[in-house]
Amino acid sequence: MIKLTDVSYTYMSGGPFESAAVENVSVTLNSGEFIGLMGHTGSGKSTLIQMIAGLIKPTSGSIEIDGQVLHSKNCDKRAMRFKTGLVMQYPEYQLFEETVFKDISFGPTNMGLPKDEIKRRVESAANLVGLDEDILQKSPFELSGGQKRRVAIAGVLAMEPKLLILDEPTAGLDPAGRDEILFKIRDMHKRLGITVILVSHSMEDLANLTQKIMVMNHGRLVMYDKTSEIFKKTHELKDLGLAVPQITEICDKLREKGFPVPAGIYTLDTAKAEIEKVLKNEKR
Amino acid sequence: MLKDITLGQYFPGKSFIHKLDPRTKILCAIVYIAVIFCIKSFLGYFVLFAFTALIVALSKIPVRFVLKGLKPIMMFVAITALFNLLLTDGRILWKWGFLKITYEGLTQAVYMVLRLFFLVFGTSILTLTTSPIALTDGIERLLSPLKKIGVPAHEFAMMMTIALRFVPTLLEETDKIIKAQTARGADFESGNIINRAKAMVPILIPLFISAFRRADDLATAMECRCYRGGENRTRLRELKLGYRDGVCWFVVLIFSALILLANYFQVSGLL
Amino acid sequence: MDTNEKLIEIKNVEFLYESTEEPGGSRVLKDVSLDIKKGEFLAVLGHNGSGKSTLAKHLNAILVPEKGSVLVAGFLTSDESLLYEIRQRVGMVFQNPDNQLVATIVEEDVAFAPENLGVNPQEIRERVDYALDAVNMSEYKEHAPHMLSGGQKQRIAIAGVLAMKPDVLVMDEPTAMLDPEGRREILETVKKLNRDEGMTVVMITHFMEEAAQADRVVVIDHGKIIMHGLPKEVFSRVEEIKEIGLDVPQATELAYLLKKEGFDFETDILTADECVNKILSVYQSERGADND
Repeated sequence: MIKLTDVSYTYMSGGPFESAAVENVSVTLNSGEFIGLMGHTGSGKSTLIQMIAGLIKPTSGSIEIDGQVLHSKNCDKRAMRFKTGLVMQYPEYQLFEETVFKDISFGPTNMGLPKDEIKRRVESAANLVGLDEDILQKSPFELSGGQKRRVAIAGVLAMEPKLLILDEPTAGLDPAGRDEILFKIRDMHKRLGITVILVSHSMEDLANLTQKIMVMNHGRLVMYDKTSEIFKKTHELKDLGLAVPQITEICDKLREKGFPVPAGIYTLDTAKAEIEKVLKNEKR
Repeated sequence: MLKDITLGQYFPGKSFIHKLDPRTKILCAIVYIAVIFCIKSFLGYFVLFAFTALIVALSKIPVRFVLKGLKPIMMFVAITALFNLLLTDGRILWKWGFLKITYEGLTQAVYMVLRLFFLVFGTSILTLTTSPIALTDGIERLLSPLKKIGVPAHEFAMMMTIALRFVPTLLEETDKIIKAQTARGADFESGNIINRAKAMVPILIPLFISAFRRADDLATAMECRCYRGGENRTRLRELKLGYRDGVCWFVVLIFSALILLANYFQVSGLL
Repeated sequence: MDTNEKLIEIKNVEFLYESTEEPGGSRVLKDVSLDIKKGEFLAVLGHNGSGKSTLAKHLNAILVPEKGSVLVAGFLTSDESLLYEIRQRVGMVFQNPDNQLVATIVEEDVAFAPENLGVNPQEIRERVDYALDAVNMSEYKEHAPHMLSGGQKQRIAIAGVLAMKPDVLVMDEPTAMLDPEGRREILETVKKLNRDEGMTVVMITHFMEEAAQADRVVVIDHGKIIMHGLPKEVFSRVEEIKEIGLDVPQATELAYLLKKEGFDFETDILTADECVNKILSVYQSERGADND
């Protein structure tokens, strides 16, 4: 369980250029959930996840992960760091080793694990992201963009974190690459039962993957609810300058014109099923 | 944030000093520095101080910005002064064990401090009132007569411009890579020097790779914008010497003469 | 699209090279022929490694074809003496906005190309002001590029090539690294340039939302042009598009799925509104049939 209490972060605190990136965020995330995080660039999303990952310290407030308060006196900072895995934007830019195997093992090696355990973890992480075994001995720099991205994600997974945070894991990929990564992430969440926070600008991706969604605006957490509830709030989202999936827009417009489909439809499959039901009823 | 670092500490403005041709400013700064090292009397420093105060007032830059430049060199100034104070032979004013302060030492130390301070003032005023672009332009134009003997003035200026442009970008990138590797448990804080140096590898390799990728992209983009070196290139802002530059040169020369004259007076024993 | 004048003629172009920086595939073009007409907005759609960027680089002679030819405003790209004639007619914008800005001040950057072309200072000033105005960035002319957002930087990059007064704007995945807001900014800028200034635009992308806005779409896969037509025509071929790893708009896909269920649907639908109207008309006609 992750519990944030009144978490704030201020840049250049105290100075004349002081600006709040995150303001008084309080939220509790349950273990094992798949949570989406959306908001404009500059809404404080990145700062928030970097605080949860223990990379930057909140200016005020506290973050509790599995009963341990981050940055408190009796908290082992490094041990906590290994509990949360953060995949940053364009993570392939952090690759540096000669072989894929060595790169993925960077995290586990830093954890001080024995050799055979490192090997097991590297292989299992590579498997989770769908990398073939023969790629492990290749240089990460001779792989395609999508493959590099998966190597970088495996590098974080190999630390076997309890909480995995992904910041725009599909940025810059083409639709096929994107679908492949998202499929692997969904699969991973199912198989490992870990908590996942997915930061994304794509409403479609959030709709297809998440159980709950957090919405940030101007440093504040303005919504946190089940995905189906979030996409019922079409107008509120639009006021924040955020779009809804096109499919939700279609269903909303249909309902406005008296076509009986329920609110909060956000996937193509449900939309198709609901519309089909109505049309077939009329046929009969 | 690393991103907010202002490079070359340029302080935008429209003052008389800001509007001077960068070539004038660079050359005057050189004259100013030369003059600093020729001063041999307190009267000379007094005239120099008056001149510097006049320039700062004309530039409309808050005094604290000019003084800010002193901060990083304070330690250096203190140590230099101390050495001069304690290690110069001459008429003894004070003595304790092997430590002694002499009249000559005291004068030396004060001169040294004044020289370093004025050196910083002079260069600060130059960089505070001249944008990096104007500065590079000025240097390119000043060096251009040397093109004939094979000095790559244009290439040098281009390199400086690109470096200035990419420093913030690369700093931001470094920040990101450090965070990413820290999230993977990299430890940059503990261990001996060798271990710490080793810990830099996961930062430096990605940084180099990214810098090369950027260089490659930039080269293509520049080619696409018809870049072909300095030949037949024109500039958006042509450097033009105006009446201001004349005035500036006149004032600088008068002051230089006054300051050097002050030296002569000291020799005559007036001060 | 006042005329049907051909601005660029690509004739039977073959190209084959192993890329060193992006391994995992050679970048090839196989017998590609395509005409780009004056004033049109053409989208080239394809996944990463399909050859679409290789095609873009042929348009301003960064690459020259091994076989076949590319003519830009009548100039042959393989003729090296015409290099700058061609490059100033074809303005090229790339994916990463950070890596194409040269100067530390916005207007100095925009001035870079005309400076290289030896344009006189007074005209450079005019061109810079025009270009910044065209991308709606005039108020930022004295800013430092690194303080701008991704979308703003990319607009500066567009202004930087507009200052060459090009005949055509070629953009190689200009929005791939931007957030939705940046993407919207770029698309709006491009559409405005095309509509108001009559600028010919070639937009290379893997985002179907962008291709859907174009006058004409070319789909490229494995170095070959496999589809060609109006956005509606191209996207209605849902299965083929999906097969080569590209997306169609959700509205198109919904129509396609409902058609498969036996409803009277055409798949030439791109927008939410078109889809809503179609569903409502089917709904009403079914009801009407009921009442009979």
